[in-house]
Amino acid sequence: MNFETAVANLGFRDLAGISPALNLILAGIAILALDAILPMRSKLLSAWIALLALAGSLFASLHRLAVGADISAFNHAVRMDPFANAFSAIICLASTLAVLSAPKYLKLREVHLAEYYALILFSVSGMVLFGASQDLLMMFLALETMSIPVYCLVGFTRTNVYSTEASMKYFLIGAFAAGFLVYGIALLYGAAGTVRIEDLAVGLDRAPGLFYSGMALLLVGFLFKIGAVPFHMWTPDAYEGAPTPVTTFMAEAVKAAPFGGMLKVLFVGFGFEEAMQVWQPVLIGIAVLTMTVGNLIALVQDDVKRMMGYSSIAHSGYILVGVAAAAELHSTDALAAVLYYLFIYVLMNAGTFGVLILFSSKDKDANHLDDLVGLGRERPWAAALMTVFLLSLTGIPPLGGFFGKFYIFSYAIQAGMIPLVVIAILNSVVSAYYYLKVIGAMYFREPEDGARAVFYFEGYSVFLIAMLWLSAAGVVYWGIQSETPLLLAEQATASLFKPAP
Amino acid sequence: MRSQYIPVLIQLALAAGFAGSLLVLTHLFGPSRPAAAKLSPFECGVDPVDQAHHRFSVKFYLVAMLFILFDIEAIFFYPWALIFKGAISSGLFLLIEMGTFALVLLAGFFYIWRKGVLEWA
Amino acid sequence: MVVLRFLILAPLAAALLNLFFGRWWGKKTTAALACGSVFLSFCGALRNAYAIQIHSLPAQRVIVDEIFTWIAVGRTVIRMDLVQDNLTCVMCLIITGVGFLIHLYSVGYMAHDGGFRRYFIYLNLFVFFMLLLVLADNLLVLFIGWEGVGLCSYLLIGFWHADMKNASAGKKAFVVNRIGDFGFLLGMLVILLTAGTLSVTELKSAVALQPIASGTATLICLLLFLGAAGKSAQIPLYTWLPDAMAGPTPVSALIHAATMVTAGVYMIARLHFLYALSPLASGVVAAVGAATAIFAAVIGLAQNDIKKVLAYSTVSQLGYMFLAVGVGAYTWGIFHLTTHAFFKALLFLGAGSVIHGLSGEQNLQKMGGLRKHLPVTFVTMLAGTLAIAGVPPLAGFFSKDEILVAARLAEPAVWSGRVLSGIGLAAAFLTAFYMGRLLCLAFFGSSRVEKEKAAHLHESPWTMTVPLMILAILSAIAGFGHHHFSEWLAPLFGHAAPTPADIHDRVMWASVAVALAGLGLSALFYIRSPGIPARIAAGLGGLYRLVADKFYVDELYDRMAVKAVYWTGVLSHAFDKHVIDRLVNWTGGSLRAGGFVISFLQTGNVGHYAIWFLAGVSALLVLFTGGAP
Repeated sequence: MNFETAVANLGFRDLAGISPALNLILAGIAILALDAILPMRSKLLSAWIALLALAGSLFASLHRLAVGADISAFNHAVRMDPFANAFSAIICLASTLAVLSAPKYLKLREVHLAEYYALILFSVSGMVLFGASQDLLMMFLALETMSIPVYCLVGFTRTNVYSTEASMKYFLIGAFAAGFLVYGIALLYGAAGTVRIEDLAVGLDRAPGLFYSGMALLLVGFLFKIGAVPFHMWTPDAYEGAPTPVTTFMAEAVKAAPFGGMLKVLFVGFGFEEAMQVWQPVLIGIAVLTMTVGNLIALVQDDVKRMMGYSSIAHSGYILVGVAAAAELHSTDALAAVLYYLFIYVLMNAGTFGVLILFSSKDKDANHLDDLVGLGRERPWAAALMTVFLLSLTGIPPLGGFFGKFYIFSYAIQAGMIPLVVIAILNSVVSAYYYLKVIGAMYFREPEDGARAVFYFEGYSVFLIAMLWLSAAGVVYWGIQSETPLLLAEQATASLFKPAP
Repeated sequence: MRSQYIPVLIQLALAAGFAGSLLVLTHLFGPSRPAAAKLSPFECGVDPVDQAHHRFSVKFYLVAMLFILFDIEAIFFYPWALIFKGAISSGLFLLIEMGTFALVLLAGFFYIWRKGVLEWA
Repeated sequence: MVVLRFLILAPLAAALLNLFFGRWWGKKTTAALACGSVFLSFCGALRNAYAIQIHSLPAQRVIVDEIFTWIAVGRTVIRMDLVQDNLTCVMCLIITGVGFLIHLYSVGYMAHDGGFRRYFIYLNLFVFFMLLLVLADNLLVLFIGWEGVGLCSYLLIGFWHADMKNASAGKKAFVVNRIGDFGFLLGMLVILLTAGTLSVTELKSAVALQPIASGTATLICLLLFLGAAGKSAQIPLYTWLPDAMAGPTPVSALIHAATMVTAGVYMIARLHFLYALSPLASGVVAAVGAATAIFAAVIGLAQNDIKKVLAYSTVSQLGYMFLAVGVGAYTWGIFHLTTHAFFKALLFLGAGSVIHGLSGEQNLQKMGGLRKHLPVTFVTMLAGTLAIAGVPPLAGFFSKDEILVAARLAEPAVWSGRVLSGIGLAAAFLTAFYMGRLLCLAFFGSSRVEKEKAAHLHESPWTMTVPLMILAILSAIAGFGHHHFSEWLAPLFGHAAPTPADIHDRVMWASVAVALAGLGLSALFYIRSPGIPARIAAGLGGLYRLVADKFYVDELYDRMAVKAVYWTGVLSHAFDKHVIDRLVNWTGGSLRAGGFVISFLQTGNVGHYAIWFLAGVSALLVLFTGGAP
């Protein structure tokens, strides 16, 4: 196909195809324009615009997922199939929660700026396209669209040295990783002569060395994004330094989105037998390392935000177990379990950070374990919600976190990976220690100086309360009622292996 | 074969001639009121020979960044105009798309303008 | 018909609304929500019963609500489905109907209590779990309801938890029930292993196709019966029920008389097709039931706390129900469950009315002559007493009579039908006697009420007396429906075989005779010549003390089980502290140390991060290209 025909093929239906992402970009631009015109009154309005846009994209994706729409756009560079729609829905949900958590915190920190919402929306538009990319260049573009706003967001509290330091570190390492990713793409292009993901396989016969090197470097880019060991070092620093609503955003949306691209590349691009035999054992090794290192370091943290950073590393490990099992079984149902896990993970993580935001004050985050002492008595609802989220993260039935792990581990057992599951379960046990430590601080510890409690509470915002209750309800309800999300996830993963229309 | 480079040479000669003649003409007709800032090689307020740890206005970065952004985006017009020349006749869509692109640029410009990035003071 | 999920969700919704928003509205709204939701469920259940009634085809006489698949792993699928058939209809109507009356009664009874909202939240939650228990198709879902009602019972027994005694009574109920639940869980596990499903509907058709081996069936049934004995307070796990009287009286009426404690009977009736496979297990059920019936009745003779008498009476009546389901008379077991729900709820509520009128007095020896002051309570309690004693034509007569006939005709594997019905008759006599005693001590004779309490003596408000009257009418007339009742349950349990007229008549006359004799004797003892009981008690001496102190079973358990458990606890604590703890501390410590060491790698220096990153890249490159030629 030459350029002329390719260009002539473009039309409004291509734009309609990516409408969930387009909608976010337009809303982001609208927020910027609004901020330029009415700088005094734009803040809450921007939050509402962002929420509306995200809700619009969420419902569009869910609707497309439910009817099983499968749309190719821009000459097959983008494919909004059920897989992409499922990820889009998860990400939009995650971002909605992150936006809900923001206004109160930013106001306290006196950085309540409209740009925050615009940046989030731009980043989300990249994420939506990430899982939908059908060629590596498009994927790289989406990845950078997703990442660059996040670098800015991490440094959003400009006067805070930790925040700027985190931003700088994240940016440097991120650029480093992006470099490897591009290099990988170049090598794969050299081997296969194409950047279309589904045609990459031809590269193996032409130039196996190039092909495998490219595959390794590409994988490095993804592993960096999901925070797998040994590419995880940035995670705790960035999580701790970033303003807590941004940490929320990073821990759920920025965490879930790369899995979309990664699954697509691994199962569509490298989903054939020879390649799988190479990457699957490596993935198992990385899963073991990731779980273990994440959990072990989390054990010795006293800073809850930092602890959650390590916990998110550990959860990446659990998810990689699911990916490895799916590769072993060649099962789309096992992949569906991964999607379900991501969905639940988004909810419980958002809730945990939400509670931390609730008790952050003007000049101090409620990060340390000691900051939560006495919460159980003085703020029973907040403590109860936090308990639900932490128990779910630990994997206590009947909460969502349990079923997420349960499905992943049972598929891993089906795949015959018993030692891996044993390690994973041992890791879960270890993780119980530090999650319960937080619960213990809330309920069983007394403030040392005889005060009633040691926490800050400077009023709540309706947004934040809504976010907490929504997440908790989701963790409980979709945990017990896992049928619908699993069904949707199975539809989504099944489409991954169907040829594009 | 070689003849196709002749226009390039002419272009070069024209550019060099234009720039040279301007220099000569200002030297001949313009008033001469030299000052320290004006005599510095780049005339941008930054001393070319100085300590590395010198602080200077963040506005420089802003302007530099904006320049690069808009420059690159303006360059995007050229391939569009050349490569898609044949396709432009086939539909309105491409025109609209470039219009949208320009609009997005304008929105960004509007934003930085209103935010006061372009005000030097 | 009404979709079943709405039936169970109404009380849950009310509980949640009161929980979240209750503090912003008053007691009136709380009470209206709580009562209204249960009434709504009652109407729904009634509508469903009608829907089942008008369908003639057996296949249509079941209402199924498939909500969602809860767990699906491999072959095992646990669905969250609700099923309403003829049996569950009866249970739903009892739970919501009697439940509604008791809610209404509670509005008056708890009016001055500080925990008004908390009380109704618990009570609504209880109704939700009880309905879930009854309607669940899957045993695991049933078990959720089973544990849920246990939890609510625990919370309500210890409702006035400021008093240590009440709190420990709640704890006792909880712990004793755990023993039963252990059996239940094991039973479910064996079912899952043998039949591969926990759905009652599927289990039934699977058993119909290929019966389970009788040994396995016996094992399953005995394990499940252990669970039932815990929940329904049978020997040897009955000790928690009398202590459970620490809760508010309407709670005793609803949970510890009418509904929750009958869950065991219901469960056996629900799984009757399994019990039909195991004569031995059925025999054990019947024997335990009969033994409990007489044993608890004997203890009931010598109790002076009005609620304790009723509690032992409940244990005894539950024994009757187990006797019935044990000899295969499922219909009459459920029928007795129904009539018992009416008259025992009535008696408890009446006792509550007395306690309410006497400002919290529960000792029978400090009552007397109340019939003039509490006329409505007296008349209704009289009806309840006659009903439970089995005086025709009140409800208890019919249900008890049918059970005794069924036991007489049965050929159980443990003991003989004659023995069982004989024990039943003896228990009936004792029942009539102690109930007569309760009535005489409380309402007849001269007043022994303490002075300051006598001053406040008053009849209860209408929200309390109206439920009493409705329940009294039900207790009086429910018995006449026994033919309809057995027809109603026939699709499940089959039609009752015609009984030989001579045996039926003999048993009937005998039971009427013992009922009247018991009541007459109590009237003689406690009205005509009040000196006799004391003389008898003195004459019996030690024997009387033995009965009055409940055969020292609690103490026995304390010695045998609790002390043994205690010492095991001490031992294992030592083991725990010196062996396990050290191991754990060592493991934990070394894990923490490991974490500590690894965390040193996290220097915070971006250069170091990049070096680790590079190391990772190199490793991946080597691993990946190592695979290529």
